[in-house]
Amino acid sequence: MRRRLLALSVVLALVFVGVACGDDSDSNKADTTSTTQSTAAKDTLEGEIVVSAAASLTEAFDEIAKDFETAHPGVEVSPDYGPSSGLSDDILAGKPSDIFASADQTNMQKLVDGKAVDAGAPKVFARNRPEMAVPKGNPGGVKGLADFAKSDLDIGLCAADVPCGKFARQVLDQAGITPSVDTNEVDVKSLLGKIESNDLDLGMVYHTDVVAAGDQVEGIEIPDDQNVIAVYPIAALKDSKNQDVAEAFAAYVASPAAQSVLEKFGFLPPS
Amino acid sequence: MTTPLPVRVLAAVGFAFVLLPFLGLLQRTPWSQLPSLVTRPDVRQALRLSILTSLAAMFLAIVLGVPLAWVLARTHIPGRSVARAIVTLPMVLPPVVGGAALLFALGRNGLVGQYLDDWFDIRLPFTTVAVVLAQTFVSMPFLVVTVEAALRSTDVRYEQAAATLGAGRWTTFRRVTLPSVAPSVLAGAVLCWARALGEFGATISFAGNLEGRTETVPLAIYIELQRDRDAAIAMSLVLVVISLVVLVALRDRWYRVQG
Amino acid sequence: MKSGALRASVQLSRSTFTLDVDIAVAAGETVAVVGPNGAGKSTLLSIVAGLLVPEAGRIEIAGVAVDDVAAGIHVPPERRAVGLVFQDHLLFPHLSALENVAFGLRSRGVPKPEARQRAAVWLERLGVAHRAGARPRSLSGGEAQRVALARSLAIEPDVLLLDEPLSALDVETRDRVRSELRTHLAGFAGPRVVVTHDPVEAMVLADRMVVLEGGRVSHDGTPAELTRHPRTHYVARFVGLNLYCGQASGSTLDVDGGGRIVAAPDEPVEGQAAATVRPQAVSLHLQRPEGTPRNVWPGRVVGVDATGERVRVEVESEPPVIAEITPAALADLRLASGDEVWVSIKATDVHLEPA
Repeated sequence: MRRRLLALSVVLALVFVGVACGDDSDSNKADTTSTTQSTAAKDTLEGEIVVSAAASLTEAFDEIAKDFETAHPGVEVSPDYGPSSGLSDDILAGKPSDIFASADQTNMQKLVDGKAVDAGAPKVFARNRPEMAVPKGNPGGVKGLADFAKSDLDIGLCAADVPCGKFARQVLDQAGITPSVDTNEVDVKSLLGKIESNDLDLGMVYHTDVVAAGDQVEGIEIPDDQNVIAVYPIAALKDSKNQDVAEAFAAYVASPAAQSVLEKFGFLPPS
Repeated sequence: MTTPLPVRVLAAVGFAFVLLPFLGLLQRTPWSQLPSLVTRPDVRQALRLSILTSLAAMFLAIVLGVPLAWVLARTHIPGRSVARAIVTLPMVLPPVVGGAALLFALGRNGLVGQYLDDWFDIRLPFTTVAVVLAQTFVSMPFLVVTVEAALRSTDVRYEQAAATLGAGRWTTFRRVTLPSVAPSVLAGAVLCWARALGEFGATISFAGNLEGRTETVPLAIYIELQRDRDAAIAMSLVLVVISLVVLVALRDRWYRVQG
Repeated sequence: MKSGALRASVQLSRSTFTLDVDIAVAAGETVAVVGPNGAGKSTLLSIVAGLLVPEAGRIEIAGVAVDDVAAGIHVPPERRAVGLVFQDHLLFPHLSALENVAFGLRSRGVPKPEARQRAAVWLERLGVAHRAGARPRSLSGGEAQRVALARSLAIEPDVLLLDEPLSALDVETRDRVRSELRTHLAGFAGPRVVVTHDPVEAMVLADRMVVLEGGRVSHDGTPAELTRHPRTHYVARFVGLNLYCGQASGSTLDVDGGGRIVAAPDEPVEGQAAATVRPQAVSLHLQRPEGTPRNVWPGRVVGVDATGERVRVEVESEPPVIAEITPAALADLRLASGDEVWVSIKATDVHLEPA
């Protein structure tokens, strides 16, 4: 019982910090409200939740999950990372999960349409900028999006059906550029691997991927007017057996503490 | 001799273990859409590329692998057992690692690749040639191992007989040694071809993935699994049927030759 | 076809023996190389054919050195004109009989049509033309032997070597093929060397016999000389004689290793001597024989071997003896291994001479 009380006071302290830091923004105010609501039920905040999250969130969510567990000692978070499309398919097929963090609206909408998520539940918690990725030193002399059409460069994208392939094509389509692609990699990691090893001159990935890739990969910004910024929505699932914890986690992701973690990994704030 | 019961039971379990996944595949096959799926242009393209590259890989493996097997079986060069181990390494190496290693060696910054690029303006990665090389790398050990075993068990006195009849080493190799291991070369080539046809990991990491150029059936299946499961299953089925037909036809022939 | 002598004086160490041989074979002469297993017979053939390189020595064919260790000469097998017929023929299984015979000619650059034509002539000459298209697997033993001989003769070698040419054949065909082989060998003008372990084969085919024991020549002479004066147990056994070495005194020989043999008292011998007894002169009895034989001793049958018309019975006794009896006698005695027998030999059948 004593330990419970201790836990409670830690949680309350965190919540108040959150309120104090976050009340200058409308969206944050809304989120802190929900945080407060869930912590009101703090006595029941225990158990395990499975967080199905887009693979691009891996590093950030590992840290956020750990922080969340520290804040709620009775809670255990099991992340399940994968491509958003695969995760949403699995959830609709009945794979047990409590919360879904998608790298796009489409897959979240799939869950809403599939009645796995309430229509009002999804909240955008982060955004991500597509960026041109080149090997250290930019051996291909890449300057802008137009370089994607150069056939003498070794250019890679992700396959059209994986998220990093979708947004890259969206950006290029919008700019009216037909890329001279040499390989459609199966995922962002293998694409970055080939840029990192200087086997490709140019690829397009998220800014977060460039941050994660380390100093062998350089990012070249795509001007906002040519770019298609990705939004990351999160929502607790209706079938969750741990609704309280799931909602608390969703709310925590919007908290300033979690946001600063996301920022560290290169994500942009929700707006 | 009748088969002892335990052997029969275990054999049945073993067979079922292999067969079951294929039944699973059949059960999930979208039969009604099958004709339209397998005749889709992109599927046909991947099939064509797969058959072409796997045959090229088999050919390359024969041309390089048979002499290699001969040297391993017949010569007494120092470090031969180490050489033999190295030749079979691709069998144990995860193919993805094999592909990455090929990239380190033949990529444009690779050990050898940088000179190919600088001196001859040849870039292998992301080309159809890279697919063939990746497949050959992974599948050649199957041929080498089979042919080497055959060469070891052949009677060298036939080669001595050829020598006394005036045949030089090359003539002897071509007209005596090679024909005597022909059934094993065929068997090894079939294994090698089958392995090349199913190659995924080394291909994707060395040759990349581009429709019409480097996207073989296994790569297309992997990509399709994320988009259109039915198409992926349909392609898998085609792969299974082609392989089955060839294996049944050639393995049978091989056993006939052996017996 | 050149004709000239083969001279070989070579040494080579193997795991179980060291070959150290000096032989010469004249053109048109057939030499049978005989000897126990592992004596170096096949090794000698391999060296002459060029398949093994001697450690020391020189081989000369028709006056030209094909091996001369001191001079650093080693002509590889494919460039020396030596025809070698292997024990189990070693016909290439994937080629027809005709293609097998044409193989050597093709390897020597003869165009295909001509090589096949000449090969057909050789098959004809050896009486197997009708099997030209057959694969070796479907040839009978005799046919395969003739095709193998044709294959070696077709390259018109300077020397012809045959390694146990008849051993792959069954007993019935062996007799017929043996006399055929004799005719074919006679048609070859160069030196001929036949390795064999079969006495009959050696006697029928060879003008001269060279006995190899433990890598060395222990005997070199005509079959008649060998039969008359076998100098080792192996030779005596090989030519079918019982040989006893020991100390003689008058007409009595005390055999080394036990036992005593008495010869007819016409030519007394003193000191080191050898006695020979033809196996046909040895009689076997179930009871101790009555009567005159001077040599009578008991023993135990350790082997009964029916070869052709005669039955060879090996008796363990002091001294040991091999008897050759008729099948009828065998049927009377009902001998089998392990049976106790009495051996008797007339003194007049013992040939004693100083050794």
